[in-house]
Amino acid sequence: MTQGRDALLALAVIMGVPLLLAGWVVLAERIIRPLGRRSRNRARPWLWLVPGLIFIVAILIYPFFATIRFAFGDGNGQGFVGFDNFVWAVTRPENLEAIRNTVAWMIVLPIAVLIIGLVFALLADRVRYERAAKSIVMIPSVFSLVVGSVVWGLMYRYSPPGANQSGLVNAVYTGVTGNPPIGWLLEPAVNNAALMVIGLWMWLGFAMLLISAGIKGVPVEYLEAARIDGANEFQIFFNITLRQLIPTLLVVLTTLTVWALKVFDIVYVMTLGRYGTQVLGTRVYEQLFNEDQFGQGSALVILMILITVPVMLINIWRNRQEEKA
Amino acid sequence: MMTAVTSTRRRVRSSSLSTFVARYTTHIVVILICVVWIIPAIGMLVTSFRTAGDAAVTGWWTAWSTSFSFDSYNQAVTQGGVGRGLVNSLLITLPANTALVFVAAVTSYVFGVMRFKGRDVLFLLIIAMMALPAQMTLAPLFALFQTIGLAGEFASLWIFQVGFSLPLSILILRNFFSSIPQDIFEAADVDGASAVRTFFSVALPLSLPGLFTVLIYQFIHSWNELLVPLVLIGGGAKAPVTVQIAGLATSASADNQTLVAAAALISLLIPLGVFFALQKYYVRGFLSGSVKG
Repeated sequence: MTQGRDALLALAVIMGVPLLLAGWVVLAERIIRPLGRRSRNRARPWLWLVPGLIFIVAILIYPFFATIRFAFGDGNGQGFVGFDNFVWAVTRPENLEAIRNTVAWMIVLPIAVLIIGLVFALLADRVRYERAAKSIVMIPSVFSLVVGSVVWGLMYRYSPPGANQSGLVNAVYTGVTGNPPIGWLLEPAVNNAALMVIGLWMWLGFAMLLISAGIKGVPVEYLEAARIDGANEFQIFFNITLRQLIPTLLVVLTTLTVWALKVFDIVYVMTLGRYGTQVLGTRVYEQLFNEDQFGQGSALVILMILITVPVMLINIWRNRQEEKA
Repeated sequence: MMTAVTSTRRRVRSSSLSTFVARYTTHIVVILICVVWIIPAIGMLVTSFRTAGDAAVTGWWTAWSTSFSFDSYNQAVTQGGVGRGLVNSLLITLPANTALVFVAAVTSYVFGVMRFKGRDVLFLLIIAMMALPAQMTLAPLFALFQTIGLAGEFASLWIFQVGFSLPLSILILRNFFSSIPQDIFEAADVDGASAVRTFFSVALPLSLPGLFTVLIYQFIHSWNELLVPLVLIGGGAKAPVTVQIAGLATSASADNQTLVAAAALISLLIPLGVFFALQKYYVRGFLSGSVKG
């Protein structure tokens, strides 16, 4: 019953939003018509920006300031408790575990993706089945992280020693080494790495695609000239190809670092943050919606945002450089 | 001409490489990575067609010797709520992304074509917001939607998706608009076309590929979203398919791996179909989100 109502409403939005926007810009022209040409041109952009800015204010700017306000409040985000929530955020052992793991995600995952992506892009560029190989690596990037986690949940299955291993990772591991099987998601020594493997599996396609485009953008003349000058392959790779690829590699690194900071789905589906795998992304969710601690949860969010500041600055700087170029 | 250039490129690259790395090493590494990347997905596919009993005791790679079954698919749709989840996902993503594309088009047109004071600063501010974590919006928006009576409604996710995805969409589309030669707009102006008319009959048609790129990319992205629907809609009757599957996968109940695998595969059909049919646009979305042009 409600699905019928929701379907009608959905249809109304699909048809209505374009009409409303068209109506708005026409109305905007009508509003500025009495003005002179110069003031018209000055007013028009701001009027046209109104719909977009309404959404940005509601969904990004308002929550930004609301989070700051909550972070200084009690469990309901009310009142004022000074910096208590921040002190709690950086002293409580569970939070320290989440911070440690998040930092590990932010360092290990981008570097792993970058290196394997670079190797794969360089080598796939030289084989005849390049397109097929790239498509295969791209496929997981379409999967939701939930599905990716389901896939790897099957891979990491554990049966007691001696029993038939129905998970491929343990079947190979016990078969090759003869050791007892490992609870890949339960053992604190390996479970964070096991979760990062899922991230690597999902993100390699993205990195490979970008790096591959970058490689094809290296001017052939540079390579030929270097060769004529007698440079060997390694010199060419390090002095020309890699140097030309630096902006691309920076994009891959910053994108993945920011993503790794927010990682939620993989940890939530695989372990719910237990067994020493807690990260900030899942810890915030837990504080806000399981513990009903808006103040403490928001302080952790502020911590997350502070960690992104350097990356944001790099992004802005890069955008500036490109504008100049 | 193009092919000539490419083949030269290939020859230049590979001829002397072979002096350092034996050619077969390249093949081994590429094929090895491909195999490692595809096998987990095949494992899920095979598992979804097995009986729960078989899957609990033997690995999927031995499935050739055991029975083949559609039970998990039946179960996923009838008991797992995956059928309803698919409809919910469509009802969430289609309106949200249609609205997103149009709002982004108007906004990016302003940034890409119009000149005004403060434009570049405002643009940079919006781009910087791409780094904000979705976790930031959870508590404030949860409270906000509760207050205005949209809690648990699809509309809350529509509004969220438009607002949260605008920065990246604006970045992609602005590049499309600003790559249209300025002469075209000047000509339209000289011909007496109004600003509205120039936007609808000159700029929009020329940037259709861009609009399509944003639509496809953001559609798949929002189809795959878990955290925000989990908070704003919850696990009830309106839950999208990702939330349903996460619920199945984290439930402590009996061993249900074949059911979860089948549910996951059902949820993949639409994004995979879109990917294979419109790969060009999806790839462009990936690329243009991060690299200029």
